[in-house]
This record gives sequence, structure tokens and C-alpha cells, in this order.
Amino acid sequence: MADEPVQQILEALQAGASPDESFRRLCDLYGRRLYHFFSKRGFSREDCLDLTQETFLGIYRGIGSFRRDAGFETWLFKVATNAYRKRLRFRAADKRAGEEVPLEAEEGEAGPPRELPATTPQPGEEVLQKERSRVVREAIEKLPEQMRKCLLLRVYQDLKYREIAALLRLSPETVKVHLFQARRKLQQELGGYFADSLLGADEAT
Amino acid sequence: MNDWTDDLRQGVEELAGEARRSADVHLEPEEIADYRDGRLSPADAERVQSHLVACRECAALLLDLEGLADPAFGAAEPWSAADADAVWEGVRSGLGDKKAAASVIPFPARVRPPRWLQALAAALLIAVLGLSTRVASLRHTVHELSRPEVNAIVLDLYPEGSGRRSEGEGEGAEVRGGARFLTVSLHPAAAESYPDYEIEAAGADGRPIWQESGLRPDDLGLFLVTVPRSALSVLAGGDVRLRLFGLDAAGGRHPVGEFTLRLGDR
Repeated sequence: MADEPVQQILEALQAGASPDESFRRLCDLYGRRLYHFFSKRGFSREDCLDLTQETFLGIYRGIGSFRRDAGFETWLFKVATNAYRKRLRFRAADKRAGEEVPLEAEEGEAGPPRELPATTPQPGEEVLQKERSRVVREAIEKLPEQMRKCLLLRVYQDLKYREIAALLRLSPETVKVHLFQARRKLQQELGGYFADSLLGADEAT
Repeated sequence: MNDWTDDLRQGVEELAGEARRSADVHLEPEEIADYRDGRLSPADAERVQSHLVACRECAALLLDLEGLADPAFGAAEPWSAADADAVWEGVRSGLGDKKAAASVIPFPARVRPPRWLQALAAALLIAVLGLSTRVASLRHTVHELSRPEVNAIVLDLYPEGSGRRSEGEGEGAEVRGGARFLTVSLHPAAAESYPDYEIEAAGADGRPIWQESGLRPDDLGLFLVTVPRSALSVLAGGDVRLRLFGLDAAGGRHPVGEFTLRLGDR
């Protein structure tokens, strides 16, 4: 349910109030948040302002069909996400060479893909490395499902406990327990050959 | 040096990469919101969760859905009152509400104009009426000139699986070298209606290469889309898949029909 000031604004707008006052207040409340939403996805300042404006227009046009028992922020999120994806599709269509721009190309919060350090192993080392990779993967795959998901989110997406908790709909404390147990199980499987710090033993939530 | 750290990271990257490749489309914002609010079935929730673990973008979207409810979200952004004003003015322009608050102007006392002024006004009215008639005639001419040329290419396309044969199937529709444009008439099968529509053209490899939005069906429920010459050069070269989408009030896309356009030699 929309919080009270937003609720009042929406009621007024749905009752036909002039947008000059009511909708302006909505723009003031959410303008910066929307700007940040687009900025995190790598858009220029100009595009962020443009997309923010486009989102508010989409909100206004759909105001008559908005159900007040639904979350306003949820609706805002849907309109903003659709605006963002539409802008990406237009960019892909503009590239007339037909080169597709994958959505992952617009890296935001997670930053660019993590790269492993470049190595030029000797032939024997390469075989050893492949074998270790296989052993590690098997050890990860043996973990219970939620534990494995916590590990993947921590190591692959470099997320904090509370972020992992939000994604998996767990409490941060449960996430900590899962990561602690994952570390212990991997230590047992791999003979203590990986770093404690990788799983955030010293992380603050 | 502890090598297992890199091996662990690599193992995780490989597993996430495999999971990501097996789910080749991103989540819809509705799915993300429904998952966050616990409105999905257990099977759907599991599917969405597995995708979130492997997909950085969708995971970031869910975290930002949480963020939008936080007044401090984006507190560090360079957002000023001038930005808020600029966005608001843009929104107002979009709403078509450009009037400033009007001040009250008292009506002047009624004054009867002199006869010569009345005659001038009548003459001007006649002149305006005559001019309007002329303009209407010119508009008609322009409309006629703007209509597709006699030998213009207009193709009827039917969705795949409809049992009807689209024009150009087989050897492909021939586009003359001098053709200014190509018009396709899409006959969608879907009965559901949307406030807005858009069309996207994709090459044989599925990549989008051209797009147009703001489409509306005609009285027969058909979509007439004119592709200009400049886009023809992009589309030429084999099969083109035209995908028609309906757009809902939130801007979400819903597939309405897929059509295949085959262009022959030009």
C-alpha cells in the first residue's frame, strides 16, 4: 500500500485534481530516486533526466488504472524498468549493422564482469589447474541448495549479507549461517585450501 | 599464494555462467515484484530465484525495487532543484498543460465599432473563407500525392501457423530499385487489444535491426506499416521476422504476432 503522502497525492489525481500541484509533489518525492535508478545502469546525465521524465509521464498516463492497494514504488519500478529496457532496445535497433547489445552490457551496481588474473601456465600446470577446477566445482555442487545460492551470490555477484538476504528472501543472519557452513563444508572437501576472507568472514552487513 | 581462491571464484563463475545461459531471457518487472512480495507459486519462485542468482542485472533490479521505497536512495546523486524543475517542465509539456496561472482581466465596456470597421471585418471573413477552401483543396492534393504510388509495394502478411500464405513467400517479394518505401499489411490473429503497439524487425539470426512504435490498428484490425527506403537497405538480405507487440499501460510488451517477410533481389 502506498504510504500516506503518496496515497493522498494519488487520490487527488484520480479524483481529477490538477497535476500542477499534486503530480509535481510526486516528481519531487521520487525524481532523485528515479534518476539514481537510471544512473546506476550507466546512462548519461541527459539520458537519466530524459528517462526520469518518461517514467513520470508513463505514471501519469496510467494513474487512472492504478490500484491503491498495490505498492506505488512497485508500479514506479515496473514503468521505470520498461522505460529502461525500451531505451536499450532502441539503441540496439539504431545500430544498423545489426549488432545486438546484450542487456548485461549496461553494467550498473555490480560493475564490470570480474576477470581472473591472466596466467600462462605450463602444460603440466594446465592439466593440474583443470583438475582443481573440476574438484572445486564438484564441491560447490555438493552444497545444499540455499547454501550454494548464498555462496554464488557472495562470490559471483559480490553482494553483502543484507542484499543476499533480500534476493533469497532470507534474514541476514540466516545468510551468515549458510556462508559459514558453506565455508566449513568446502574446507572439509578441499582440505582447507581456500581463503576465509573470500566468504566475508570479516564483512560488515 | 593461495591458488584455491581463484579456483573457487572460477568454479562459481562457470556455474553461474551455465545457469545464465540456460535462462536466455531476463525476468519481467512484474515477476521480480511478485517474487519480492511472495505472490509467486513455489515453482515460479524457485525459477525466479535461480535466475536471480545467475543474473547480475535482474538481481540489481530487485535490489533497486527495494531501494525505490527508501527516501535516501540516490542521496549522493547530483540532483538539484533545477533538475527537478527541468523534469517537471518536461512532464508538463508532455501532459499538454502549458498554461501559466491566468490573472483576472476585467471585461472592457461594450463599444460598438464604426461601420467601416464592420465592413472591413466582413471582407476579411470572406477572404479567410475563400483561403480556407483553397487550403483544403491543396491538402487534398497533397494527400493524393502522398498516397502510395500506383506500383508501390504493399504486402499482406499473415502470422505463422495461421494457415494463410503471406505475400512474398517462396522466392521473396521483389523490391524495385526505385521504390521509395515498402508497405506491409499485418493480419494479426490475436483478439486482445492494447493502448499502443510497436513493431520490431529482426534478421535471420534473431537480432533486432529496425523498430517503429506508436502503431494503431485500422478499422479492420490490420496494421499498415510503411518501411522507408533507408530502412529497406537494412532489411534486405533474406528473411526478416516482424514481431508485433502490444504495449500495456505500464509500457510492458506483449507478443501479438510474428510475421516473416522475405525480400528478393532489388
